[in-house]
Amino acid sequence: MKWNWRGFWLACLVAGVVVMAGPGVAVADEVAEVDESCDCKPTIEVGANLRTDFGVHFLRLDAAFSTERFRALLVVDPMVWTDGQTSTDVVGFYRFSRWEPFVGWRLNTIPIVEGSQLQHNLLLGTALGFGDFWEGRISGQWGFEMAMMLYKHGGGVPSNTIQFASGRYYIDFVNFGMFARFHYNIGLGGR
Amino acid sequence: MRARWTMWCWPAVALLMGCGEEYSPSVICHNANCVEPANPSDDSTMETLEASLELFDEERGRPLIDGMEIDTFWWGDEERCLMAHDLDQPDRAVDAMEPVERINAVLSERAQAGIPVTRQAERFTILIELKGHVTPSKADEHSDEELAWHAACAVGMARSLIDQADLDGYEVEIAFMSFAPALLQALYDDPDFAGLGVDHPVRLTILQGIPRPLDSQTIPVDEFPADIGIDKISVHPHWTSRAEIEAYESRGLELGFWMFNVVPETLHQIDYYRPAYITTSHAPTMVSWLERSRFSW
Repeated sequence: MKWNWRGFWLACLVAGVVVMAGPGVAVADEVAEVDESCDCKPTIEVGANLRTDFGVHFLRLDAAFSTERFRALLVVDPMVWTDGQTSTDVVGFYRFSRWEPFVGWRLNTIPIVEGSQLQHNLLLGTALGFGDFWEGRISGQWGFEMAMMLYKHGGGVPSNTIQFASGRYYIDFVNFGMFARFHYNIGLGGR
Repeated sequence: MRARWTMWCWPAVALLMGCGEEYSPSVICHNANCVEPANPSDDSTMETLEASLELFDEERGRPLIDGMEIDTFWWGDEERCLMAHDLDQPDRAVDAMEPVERINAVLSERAQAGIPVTRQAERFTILIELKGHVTPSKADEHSDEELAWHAACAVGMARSLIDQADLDGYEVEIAFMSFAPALLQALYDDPDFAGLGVDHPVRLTILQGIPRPLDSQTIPVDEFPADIGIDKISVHPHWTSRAEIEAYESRGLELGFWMFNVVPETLHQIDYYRPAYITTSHAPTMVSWLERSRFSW
């Protein structure tokens, strides 16, 4: 039986969702009521970004600037030391109640002999808030995402752009994944 | 003081990172088309085959690849055995012996000049894929006669590759592969098949791709005959679950991955499962990624 960090993190992720989703729904309802009269001050979020798919490392760190309707998120990859690969995301969310459709850009760097190949991805998806905990200091979010590799270059190998002439051109470039964010909120002012 | 710390630290870090364990799979040219940027419309054509054979690591004095995949297509209406991925461009398809002759010529020339015939200076692997349909439609499968003809064509290709290798003293490995169980059975039943693997490995390989209903070609592994010596499987890493791969390993099948491109999802799967061979359309990038550890520390 191979030890599998991804499986470990998946178990943690599921456990986190189960633990947080129950009380989270109730808290979220309360928060929704509060929202109608809140002053909705901007919030800084700092936390962990966990995932189960193979597109990026299973643990990354993120920071977001959040307002009543929008959230701008930056995700960075501290696990570069494991294999030299990094993934950096810049994502914008728009809030419809607890659902937050998002669009973003991911830069993957893949180490090869002549340096790094850079791969630029379009991110599209939607996220769902778990709700807030500890009087709003901690929040959780689950998301479903499509990552489409649009263009890659660098590292001394020819560049390549996605094409759609047939499935053979793009099937490897379009991948799906899920993530969970757990973040600490700074500057709480009602959400 | 700092120099002493560095002297002890880096070997320890390298050990922790597992750098001592070298992984070096065979890199096979997918659809005889692995010069970047590979255009899938040019798959299985003589132009890309020749360009792919010319991929060479000048610094190390070796080819960049360890093998070549040749797609064979039985064209039912014409009763011809072609090198072709499909019948979308019949004017570009050539008789299946043409790529064999070209491979024989290149390997023979290298062997006679004392140049290794592969990236790893080991045996050259030729994957001979037998396509499972006989018209442009994937629904048109072989008749019994066509199964035998197609199998005989593939066996003839292997015979030629082996004879040339014997003549010039280099090693080859032949791996027949197909999505269609009936074609692997037809190969096994061919009267000349058993005589192929005397001095060079000759193997039967199950191909698995994008699962049904997205692609009608992929047939469950259980439907392949169990008693004909199938010992390899080639799968697409993005479309194969962990449970499936562990089941293949339990059956003693040697694992290979095939893919069109190189993205982090692919590389993670290669890192984790370490397949024995990688069939790629982007050989320079794949080799450069595989060899990065030689230069990392």
